[in-house]
Amino acid sequence: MSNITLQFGQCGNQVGQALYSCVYEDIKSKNECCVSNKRLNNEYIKESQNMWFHVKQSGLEARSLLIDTEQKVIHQANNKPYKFKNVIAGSYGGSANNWAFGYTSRCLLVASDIMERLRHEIEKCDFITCLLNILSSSGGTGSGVGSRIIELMREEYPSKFITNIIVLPFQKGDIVTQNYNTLLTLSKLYDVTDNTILFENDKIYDITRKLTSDREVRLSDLNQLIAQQLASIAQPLNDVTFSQVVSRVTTHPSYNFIQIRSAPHLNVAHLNYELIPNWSILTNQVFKSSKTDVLVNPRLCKKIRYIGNVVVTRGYMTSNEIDLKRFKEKSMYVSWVPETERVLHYGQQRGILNYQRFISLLTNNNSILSGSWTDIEKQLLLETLQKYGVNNIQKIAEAVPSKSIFDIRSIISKYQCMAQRAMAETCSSTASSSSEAPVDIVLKYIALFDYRTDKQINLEDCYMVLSDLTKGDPSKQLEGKTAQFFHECFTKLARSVKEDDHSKKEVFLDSLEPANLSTTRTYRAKVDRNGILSDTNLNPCKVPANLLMDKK
Amino acid sequence: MFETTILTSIKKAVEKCDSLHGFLLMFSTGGGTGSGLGTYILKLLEDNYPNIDRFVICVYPTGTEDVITCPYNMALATKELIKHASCVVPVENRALLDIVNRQANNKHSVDTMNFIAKCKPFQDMNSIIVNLLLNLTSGSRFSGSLNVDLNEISTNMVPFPNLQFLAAGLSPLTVSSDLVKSNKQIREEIFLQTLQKNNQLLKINVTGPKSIILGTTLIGRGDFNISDMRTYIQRLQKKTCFTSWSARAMKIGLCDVPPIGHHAAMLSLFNTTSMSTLLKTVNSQLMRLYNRKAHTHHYLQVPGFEDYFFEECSEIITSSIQSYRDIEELKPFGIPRLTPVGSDISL
Repeated sequence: MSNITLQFGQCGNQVGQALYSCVYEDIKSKNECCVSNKRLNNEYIKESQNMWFHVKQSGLEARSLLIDTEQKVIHQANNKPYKFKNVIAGSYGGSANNWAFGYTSRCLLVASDIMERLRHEIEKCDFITCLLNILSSSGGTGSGVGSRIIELMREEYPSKFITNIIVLPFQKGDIVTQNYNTLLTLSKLYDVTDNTILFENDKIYDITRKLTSDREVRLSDLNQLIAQQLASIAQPLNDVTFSQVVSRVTTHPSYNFIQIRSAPHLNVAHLNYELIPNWSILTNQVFKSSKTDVLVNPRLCKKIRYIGNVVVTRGYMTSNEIDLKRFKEKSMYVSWVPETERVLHYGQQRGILNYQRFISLLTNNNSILSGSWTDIEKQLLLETLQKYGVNNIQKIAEAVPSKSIFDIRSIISKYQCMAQRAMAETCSSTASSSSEAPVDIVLKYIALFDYRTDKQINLEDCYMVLSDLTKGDPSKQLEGKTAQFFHECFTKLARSVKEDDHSKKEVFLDSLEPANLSTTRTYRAKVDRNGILSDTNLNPCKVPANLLMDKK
Repeated sequence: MFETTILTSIKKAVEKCDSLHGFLLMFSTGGGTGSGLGTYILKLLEDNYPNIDRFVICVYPTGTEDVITCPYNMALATKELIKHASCVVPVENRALLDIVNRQANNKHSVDTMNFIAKCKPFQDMNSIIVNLLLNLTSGSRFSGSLNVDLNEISTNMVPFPNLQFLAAGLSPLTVSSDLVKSNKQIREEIFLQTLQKNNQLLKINVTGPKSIILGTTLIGRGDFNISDMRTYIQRLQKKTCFTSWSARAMKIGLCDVPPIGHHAAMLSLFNTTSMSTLLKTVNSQLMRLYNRKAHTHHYLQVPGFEDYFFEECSEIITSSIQSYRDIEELKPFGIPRLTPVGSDISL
């Protein structure tokens, strides 16, 4: 049983090399936990070697294709005890962080060579479990060339199990075009491949920062961690293959993005002095890390629904030591997942690397959507918006701690855009249906949608009244200061209009009188059109009758 | 006249490459050969190699003009740059002079003093540009954990096709640093220096209140690591103004090999709206001469040069300035139309 890896681009090659060195270290590990059972260890080593390497007399040869459009990274590869034979790296000068460039033009240069080498490599294996693509989604080579090659692979080998390992970029920027590239890659690969294991740079970075508290984080540390998590899933298990493990999680073809959580993560230098906690504590750790993506506020933490979980344990354990009851709760799962399929456990008695016990969880859940807004967050945003208004972003950010200022700003502008569009549509539709100018409707919309901070004067009501007045409907009673303000405005307007020279409108303007809005009015159930004209309550401005009549 | 000769020699050079990254053009925009022939070759390159990036490092002699017709040359060259280059890194003579003067005034150790004494000031100014080039191309020359190639820079830094002027900041600018292993503070200082006005190769203030940034590239050489870069990005995002879409537009690069004599160095490239000040100077100087039609007959004598070229050129520069201003004035959506403040309402 073997896996073939294809490493695309700078990130893919770095992660891939880290993965192979991780596996190699694991094979050669002299640690007590690994070599205690000789027979078991030998079996494991043999299987693992067969899985990742092509064993030759001259040494080990990685079952791997290194693909890049420039040569610098790949040149670093070959000073290891094992060999990378398949290097496909023309010095074409990179793909310029441009997905389209990699997908269409750069790919042509390498495609035939890759397919040929891949065929050779497959022929060398006696049984192939999985084709493993390692790539980052932000750059040009990994994302562009990668997605094209994977499509070609699917055409060539329709029944092979293809898994991607995609490293997502830092949210706060690595490359300017990363969002375009990521989206294009994920959407291309979604249909083509069986499943995708996602690694988020941000999350990996957080974990490594805790591990390397004594020094600064290097990129190789991130790669190391990704490799470790991968190896813990992919290294031989007792009686299942890697592809079986992964496919148990992706039971539904449309939900094929999965993540890995693992424990313990310890500083390598401290490993000899630190005791690895027992299984139940480790299980708890993994459970927690799978459940809480947003650690800020438990109220905001979205309800996570699982589709499937697989727990892989490495290290000696007796049969009843692990307790997966917490993973089995019905409410955490999507309703169509049968009880027996919710969580599966695979064990390997041998430890991994220098870890006596290592637990990893392969999980398929909806937390990959964590960037979007949950209902609770939206509700919170609405409350804070009512309190502080749109302009005070700083305050809003304090009240909604799980989101950054950028997120808040973008969602507000998104909603404003939506509201404006809705407004424009409604206005235009009403305007087109009736030939009259929709002054009253516009005023009403202003009243409903326009944003104000002033508390003393209720401008919304003013607009509402104006809207009602232009329609000729009975209007709402204004209060205190607002009424006074409205009154003042109206008189001022009337005066200024009167003083102007509008000979045509004289008839209308002469009939205008300062409105008397402060008196209480009673509304009738039915409004008689002609009655309005005489009733000062309903027609406070004394608009002439011919202007109020419907033009039919 | 030399078109075919130039083209064949370019072709010969290109054929020797196995992977052509881009063309680097270096000229000053003040003189005749640089501005005229240089931009003509730029156009040739665009016609013959449309898919290869053309990087232009050009010197603007603003403030230190030594040729009287310099404004014309400058403006005409700028027009060609706007039309044909894929990335332009302008360098101003006065900025270079300031840097050199500051270095001369600094107290140095005896060794560096001797070193500086040997150099002539013009060489020193040139060496700054050389440093810029060395840092810019470091990604394609050396290995690093996050490579930046030349072609990636134009993908990342040019959001719209006619806004391709980049402001460059360098740090450190001294000839050699003390050979102390760099620690976190020193690295942070290097980062901050690249943002400062004094270390820019243009007389503009990148982090000032008026500059809105459209794209950033930080290339760290030597001891920089990823966690440094992340903190810098966060600081930069707090410190400067962005448009709503460019806030996350950050490109970072790491190169393992530092420049000779240093442990760490950083190059920052900004695409900022304050670049319009440079274009404005170019345009105003052109108009000052052209309004009087001074010296124009020299140009009009040349066969193939028409009078309207000047106006067209001024037009193109103005439109470029305008597009910078448009971005400056671009406000986030949905500004409330009415915000009454107390009783200050006048109708």
